[in-house]
Amino acid sequence: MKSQIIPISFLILSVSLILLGYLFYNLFYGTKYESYVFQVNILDAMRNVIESLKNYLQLSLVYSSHQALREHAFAGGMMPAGTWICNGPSPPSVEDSKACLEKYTTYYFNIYFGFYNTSLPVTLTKVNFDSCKYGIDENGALNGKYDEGYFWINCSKGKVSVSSKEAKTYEELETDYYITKNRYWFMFRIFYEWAMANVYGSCICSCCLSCGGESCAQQCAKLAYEDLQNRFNRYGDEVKCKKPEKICLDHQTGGVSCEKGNECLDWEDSQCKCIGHFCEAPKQEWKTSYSPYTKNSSMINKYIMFSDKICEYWVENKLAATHVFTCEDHKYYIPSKKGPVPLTFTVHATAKFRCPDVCRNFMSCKYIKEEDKYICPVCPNNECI
Amino acid sequence: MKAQAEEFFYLAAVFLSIVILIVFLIYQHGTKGKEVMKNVVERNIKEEINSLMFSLFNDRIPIADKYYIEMIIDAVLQKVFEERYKVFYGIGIGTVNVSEIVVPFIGKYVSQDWKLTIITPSATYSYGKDIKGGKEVYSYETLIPLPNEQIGKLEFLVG
Repeated sequence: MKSQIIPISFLILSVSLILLGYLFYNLFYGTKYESYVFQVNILDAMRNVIESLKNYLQLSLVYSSHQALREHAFAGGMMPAGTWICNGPSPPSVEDSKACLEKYTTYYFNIYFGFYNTSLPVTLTKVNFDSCKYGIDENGALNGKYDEGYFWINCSKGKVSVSSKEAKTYEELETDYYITKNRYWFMFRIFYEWAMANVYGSCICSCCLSCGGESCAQQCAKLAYEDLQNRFNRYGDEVKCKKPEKICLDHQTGGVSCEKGNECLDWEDSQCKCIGHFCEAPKQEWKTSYSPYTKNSSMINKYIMFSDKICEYWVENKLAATHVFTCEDHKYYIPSKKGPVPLTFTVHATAKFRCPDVCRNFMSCKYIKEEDKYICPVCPNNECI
Repeated sequence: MKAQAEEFFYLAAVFLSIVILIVFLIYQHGTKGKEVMKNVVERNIKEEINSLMFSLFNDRIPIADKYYIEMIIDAVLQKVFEERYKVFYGIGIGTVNVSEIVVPFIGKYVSQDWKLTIITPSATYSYGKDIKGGKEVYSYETLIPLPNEQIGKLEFLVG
């Protein structure tokens, strides 16, 4: 029995020493290591928050850019675009449209950025993106280079920091999106070419010169619509234009002249106005349909009485119209809150002309008994018939 | 002679006990048993989910040139089809069956059962299977942007 005490004591002592060593190892080195692992895990979680944010921003840029493009197309290339035809061609420039797109894309992108949060017990501090840039140049846009998209959008200088009691991490953010299958610049280009050809303005000028009125102006709108549709049809049948909507019609005659005129001048005080292109600060109202115009139509007819012996004279014809031309692209749908929808491009055109001395009218001649002849009262040189 | 043998036997027992104890402690230190195993599995699943999420948000499907997540959201938001796994992208692309694309895509990243749910203000739609009870379930949640400055949520369960 006595001989067993030594090995058993040795066994107990050895086991105690090993356990004590293990205990001390874990207590000092192990705790330190565990705290290191914990910190690494926290940093890892913070990095994951940033990685999730980057994923979120990638999709946010998709929606921001498509929303800006969709709204710009609906408003006519600017926010809001004015009249693309004002007697002559006056479309917005590619650079202006691009600058406005950049402004709105940055605005929407920062809204999405502001929404981002995490359920983890960390503090997120964000600094908005400075700007989003479109990789577009005027020549390319007007020569069809970006007809189907295929350009970069780059948003830069956003900042995020994630902090907790144990650690803090910080990163500068930059998000790129290569936009494809969006035909904003195709629609812009065709409308641009259509506006430059100016079928609408030229036709209304012809109407004015031929003393035409409302029906002639409506005919011009139809002619311009056909020209627009034909221009799209050259590239396929995916773009459908709607019949032009009349926003304003104004027709007046007046003034007397003895000779026929043959020029179209700007009718400055017409009810149909030309409006310049603007890029206003983003606001909620853009989400609904927007038109800078109020509907108004006016038609004033003047009747001239005449008798048996008459002579001709000429009066001024004033004719003005504003129509809205809308086309939808059914080739590629773009994101909206109701799912993918066609891209709708809307453009306003105004022509407002006064054509002095183009409407032929007649008045009764005065009979001069002594000379036995008829004389035209206002235009004595004009023949009485 | 008998006492010597007994002594030798005890020494051997002591030596063996110490070796077993040391081996056990080293193993314990190295793996910390089930807990570490669980952590390792969890870590692997997290990595799988992270790389899946990265691909969902950054890879595009060639047919429509859209990000996978974008297509999933479009399908939930669209009101053209009753089935919220189909989406029409216009004449140039046609109709895409999102389910046929997304389910095998996620299957490449996750070997276990999974369920992906997209929650938007107007609708909710899920892909994958319901995870049966009794299984260890790992979940991943993140905010997702939606068109017109709205946000929704993505939930992903693995079990």
